[in-house]
Amino acid sequence: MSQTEIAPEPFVGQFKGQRTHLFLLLGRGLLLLVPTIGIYRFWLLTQKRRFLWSRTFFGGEPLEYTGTAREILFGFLFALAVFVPVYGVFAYLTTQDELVAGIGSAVMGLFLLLLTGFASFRSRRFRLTRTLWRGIRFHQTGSAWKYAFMRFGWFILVTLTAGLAFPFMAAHLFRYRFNHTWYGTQRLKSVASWRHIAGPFYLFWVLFVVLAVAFLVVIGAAIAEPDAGAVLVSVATLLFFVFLGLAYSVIASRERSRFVSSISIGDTGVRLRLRARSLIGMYVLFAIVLTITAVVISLAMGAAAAGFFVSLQAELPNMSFETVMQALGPGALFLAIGAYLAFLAIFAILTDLFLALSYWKLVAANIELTNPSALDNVRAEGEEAPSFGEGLVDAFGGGAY
Amino acid sequence: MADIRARLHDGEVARTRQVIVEVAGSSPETGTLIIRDQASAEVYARWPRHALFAVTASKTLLRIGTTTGAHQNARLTIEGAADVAALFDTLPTLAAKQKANRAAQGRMLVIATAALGSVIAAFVFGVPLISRQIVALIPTAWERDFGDRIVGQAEEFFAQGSGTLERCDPRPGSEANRAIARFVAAATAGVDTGIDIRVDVVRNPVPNAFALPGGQVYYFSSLLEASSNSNAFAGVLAHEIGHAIERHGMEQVVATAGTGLLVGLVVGDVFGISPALFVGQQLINTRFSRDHELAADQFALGVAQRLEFDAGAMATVLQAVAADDVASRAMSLIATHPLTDEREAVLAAGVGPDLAGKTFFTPNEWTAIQLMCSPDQLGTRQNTNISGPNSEGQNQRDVTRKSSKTLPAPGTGKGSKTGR
Ligand SMILES: [Zn+2]
Repeated sequence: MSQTEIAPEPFVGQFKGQRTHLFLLLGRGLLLLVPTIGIYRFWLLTQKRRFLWSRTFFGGEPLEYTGTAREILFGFLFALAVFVPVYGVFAYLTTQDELVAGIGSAVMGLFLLLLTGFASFRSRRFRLTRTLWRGIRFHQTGSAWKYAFMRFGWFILVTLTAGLAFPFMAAHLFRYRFNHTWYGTQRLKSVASWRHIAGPFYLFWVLFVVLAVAFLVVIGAAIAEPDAGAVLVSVATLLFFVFLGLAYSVIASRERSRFVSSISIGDTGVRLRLRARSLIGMYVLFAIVLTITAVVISLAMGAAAAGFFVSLQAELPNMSFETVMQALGPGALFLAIGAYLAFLAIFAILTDLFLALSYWKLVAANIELTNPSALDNVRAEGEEAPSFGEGLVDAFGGGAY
Repeated sequence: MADIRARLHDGEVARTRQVIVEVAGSSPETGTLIIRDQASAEVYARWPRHALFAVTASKTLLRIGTTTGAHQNARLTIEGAADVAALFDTLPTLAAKQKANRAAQGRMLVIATAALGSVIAAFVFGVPLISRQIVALIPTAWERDFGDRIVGQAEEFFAQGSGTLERCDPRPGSEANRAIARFVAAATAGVDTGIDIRVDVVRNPVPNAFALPGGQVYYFSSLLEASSNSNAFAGVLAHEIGHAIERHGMEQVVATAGTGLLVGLVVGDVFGISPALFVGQQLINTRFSRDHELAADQFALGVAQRLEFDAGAMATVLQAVAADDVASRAMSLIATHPLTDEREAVLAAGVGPDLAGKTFFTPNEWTAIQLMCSPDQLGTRQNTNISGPNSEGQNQRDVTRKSSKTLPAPGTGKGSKTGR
């Protein structure tokens, strides 16, 4: 297999996209959601994927996303055929007495949890079969129901063990996904193991328990001494969240790096080095941008509201709620709806620009394919998979890349 | 034109081939793109020009595919501003295809939007009709069970202020309760729907009256105080009995479930609980409830006609309550017709002149009913003018928040809870 080239250099991943480009794409797309009553989301998702895929290069060759908005739209319609009866059962259950409604809703919730596993596996298959690199598409074998049941079982086990089983779950599901992933005729193989993340995970798990106990002690002290206590509790809460962010970044970066590096594509190896500090930097930047945006918006809104109330100032003390509503006129309702949608849109844009894009960039730019010439002889195989899974994910309110 | 250097992926093998591209033939219809190896000049492929399309096109990178080749995933990659520009100039169909594709996407978007718009319109107009059919299939015993179950919810709902659903006069044999029972029996005589009407006058400072699914009707003490004469009371009671008998509450429950699904469909989050869901449901239900209010008014007028009393006074009570409800007023601005004007016209037209001055309740009965909720512990007796802004801003805000419209048909508020 690997005799085709001499002294192969590794392929280093590159991401050549501009954040402003994605910003324009998102801004236009979110505006178009309004006149299309939300239908445009299928086009927006397709455009986002085209953008990300086409700007990600390995060995100088870009990925290509071949999926279309139409496919996802139809997938959504098929998914509705599943959701309408499920929804009907939910609606029926809520009219029952509390016991029946409670048990019924719990059972339905578990069923939906199972279904999300199914949907995520099928959706992954859709995305893989719509991904081309060097003219060859990826595909995925394996059973979505088997994956869903395994994931479901692991969720229960992880819950019962207070999280201790997590590394085993993560490694097992990762292996199942990637051992059923193919690049043309070449099957991928992953040897991801719980040991890859056991160190940081169990360290932080123990730290978490210790800190949680300490936190409870602090709250206990605060109840005893209300004055100084409030400050103490806020400082402790802040530190606790910082700790959680830190723990997440360290564990997630370790998991991604080790697991992805456990993948081989025939004689080609995959290496990913994702640093915890890169993830932390990403979250800090997102928090800063979010804060600045929030401050700017509240200043603008405050000014607008002040302007409105100044114009009413003379009567304001005597005015009832209704009169104020009346003064606002019919525009008030539309204004409220518009403001709400604008908030959602701004948050979605910031999340896409400073979390999703940043993460994609980090992963893409830190991937290396060793001995890439082994891939030269891979041949085309696999069909485009149906978009039902994508539809399910959309109906669940997801919209993963 | 000079030969252009490019990379070929033939869609069959992952290997990258360094090639030279040559455009042969002058017309887009008959010409071909000849792709040969850079070193050996061996021809790898001939792609018809009319079948070419641009996969990605920027100033410095152009990727081309073909629709007729054996391999739909074959790609030709041209890099460098000069080569890209040269090829784009030579192959005008590339740009035309891109334009045509964009137009096709736009058409599909318009069609999909129109389809969704039609579905929404079908829901807005069809949900009332369909929910009526569905409700016809629901056994009345089941409806009554359901009503009993949500009495608890209704109690919680109205107990947030100073109000309760505690009956003013729990003795079934009292004169007032006997008078009300006489009215219910007369109003429902000859109407066989299997719904068993029960009326409770309850102590509550909110001017309101409503019917739950299954036939339970509540008349609030504050509304009783605002009812200027016995005919106003009888008219409003008949209106609520109309809601109960025509099973509007169940229809609302069914409709709320339907609109919840619709809004979920639009937003792309079938099980999400978002404010968009709430607003959407309100918009659709406003329309729906207007039909219900008109139907209940018609029923009340029919009863008045049959029992020969003057229902004209009912309009003033209904309007007084309607005017206090900010939410319904805000919503009626969006609805095609304001709620109260239309109903006022119906009520005005429905009261025959021959009934002027006639009453159903005897003066003694009416006095007994008026005294049901005294001794008065609410302290709102003097405040009989319930319309217009007054010192009870707090209570009125509660009305606004809790019940989305006047004299809520059953299921209001609960509807959005049960419909999820
Ligand atoms: Zn009514």
